[in-house]
Amino acid sequence: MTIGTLVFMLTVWVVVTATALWSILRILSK
Amino acid sequence: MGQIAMSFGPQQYPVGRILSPDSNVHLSRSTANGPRLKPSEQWGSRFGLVMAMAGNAIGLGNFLRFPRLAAEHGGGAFLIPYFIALLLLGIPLMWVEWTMGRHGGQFGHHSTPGMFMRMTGSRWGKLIGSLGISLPILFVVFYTYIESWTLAYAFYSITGAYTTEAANLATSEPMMHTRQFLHDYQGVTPEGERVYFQSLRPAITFWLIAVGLNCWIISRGVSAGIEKLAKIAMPLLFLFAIVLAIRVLCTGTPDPSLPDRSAWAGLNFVWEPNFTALAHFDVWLAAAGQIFFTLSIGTGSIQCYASYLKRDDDCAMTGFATAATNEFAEVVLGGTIAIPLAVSSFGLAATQIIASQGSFDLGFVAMPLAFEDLPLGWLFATLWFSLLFFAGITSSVGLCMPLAAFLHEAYGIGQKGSAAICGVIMLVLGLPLVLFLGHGYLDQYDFWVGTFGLALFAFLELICFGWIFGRKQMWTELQRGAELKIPRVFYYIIRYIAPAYLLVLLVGWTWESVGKEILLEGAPVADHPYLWLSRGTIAGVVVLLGLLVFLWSSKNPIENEPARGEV
Repeated sequence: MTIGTLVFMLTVWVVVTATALWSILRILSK
Repeated sequence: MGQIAMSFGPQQYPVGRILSPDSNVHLSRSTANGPRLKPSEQWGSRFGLVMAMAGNAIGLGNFLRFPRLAAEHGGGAFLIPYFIALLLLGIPLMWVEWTMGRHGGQFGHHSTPGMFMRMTGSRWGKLIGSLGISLPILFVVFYTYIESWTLAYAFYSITGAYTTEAANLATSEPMMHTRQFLHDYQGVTPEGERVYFQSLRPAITFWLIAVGLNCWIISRGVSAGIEKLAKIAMPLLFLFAIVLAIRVLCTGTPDPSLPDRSAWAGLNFVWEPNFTALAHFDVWLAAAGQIFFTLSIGTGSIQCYASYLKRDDDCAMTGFATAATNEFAEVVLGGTIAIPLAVSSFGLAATQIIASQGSFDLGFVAMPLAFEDLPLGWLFATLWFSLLFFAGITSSVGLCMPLAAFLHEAYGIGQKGSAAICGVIMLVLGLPLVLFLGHGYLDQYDFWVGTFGLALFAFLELICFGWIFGRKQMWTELQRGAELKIPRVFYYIIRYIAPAYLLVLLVGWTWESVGKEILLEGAPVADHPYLWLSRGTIAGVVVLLGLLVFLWSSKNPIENEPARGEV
């Protein structure tokens, strides 16, 4: 796996995971 | 609740907001059988609601269809049209369906016929809305059967029934025996050539268990049934998926003499961008299709779930959270399990062939064998098929709910009765599917219901909500109680871009399917009666439920509904 592909994959993972966690936590905190 | 302890006749409709404009109490409307007024159900908690909605969205496609499509259509580059479709089609439609559901629920409507009539101010709206009960029940007919395979395979993973040790086939083709096992189980293998199962009895037994479980959950209602299921099944699903993803990433290179056979090579296969693929229309079509299916859009189930919200409950943030949770399950977890494990076991070339043969081959033929290579493989295989079963059942109960809710709302049939009717429909319509699977029966359902029908219904939703309901009402209703500010650009996306996008999808899919699915080119002539039986069944259910809606419509004339401006 090239560095470029790895960085791309990890970026997508982080963004998608963070968005899901942020939205769920926002709901649970209300 | 005391304020609603009054009676009124069937013609004294309206209820809900007109009767009690600022009340958060939901009312169940009068029925054809006479007055019927009782508080309708509500979700027990927002967490339960989000879990139920996420359960509805997260299905078999997240773990089987997405990684296969991504690997087939440009790897990482596939995510570009995928996320564009999420932004222009998935999230707007998610908000539209949530808002439609909440709006309808204020008038005691928990299924789309009533919701569409409210929005359009016309009896014809109710008939269009009837698709929102016929399509999901048709969908669940074949979905429940596939769901029962996952339950069976979870069982057989524990007993080791399909393992190489259990196989007595002398073959050099590694996946031969798992394919034989699947085809024998499905009854697709001709009689006389069967090895593992001589009859359909095991398949029918697991199918009956799956249908029974679905009916039992629906009969318990929204809070005690669906929400409780989601609160148990969804955390388990995520736990199993995370355990499996970590295990797959830790497989390394099982055979050092074959360095290409590793999970990282599999991840590379899924993620390495091939930008030339973006020049192909079918890649954009596949990406938009995946977004459409993965979010359970166009099934009427989101509206049904959202109809149990209170008037000022948030739709924007909760709808967004549902989509985001689904994407986590699909892109992060779904992309990390099946294809990478298949590559580590069989190599890249073999995995490409498996992927091209479809999701079932990946999930039920390749994965059992791949897990066998791991220490405690039976345990991981059990986790895999259990997570697929949880993903399936949390979706299938959502697909049954629109019809159950309609029967309750329109004909006063109780929860247990509605669940029983759904069960009978699943059994009666599902039996030919079980018996004639090898004759292409499932493919007709998949195209007419799971592809064309859902996209058509979603298109009609957008037209009704974005154009007929009224642009000001539409935007006001979307933003009511919103805990997330919806950018103004979505006003234009909902009215113009998303309908155009769906129209292109509909035309594209029709064009792609003209030969095989519509004109039945390539299908053996001997299979034509089965394929026409499948089409006739689909058409019959759509017409029959349309008639039921029409009869209800006649007893509850639109003139007795509040005018559009009043709501």
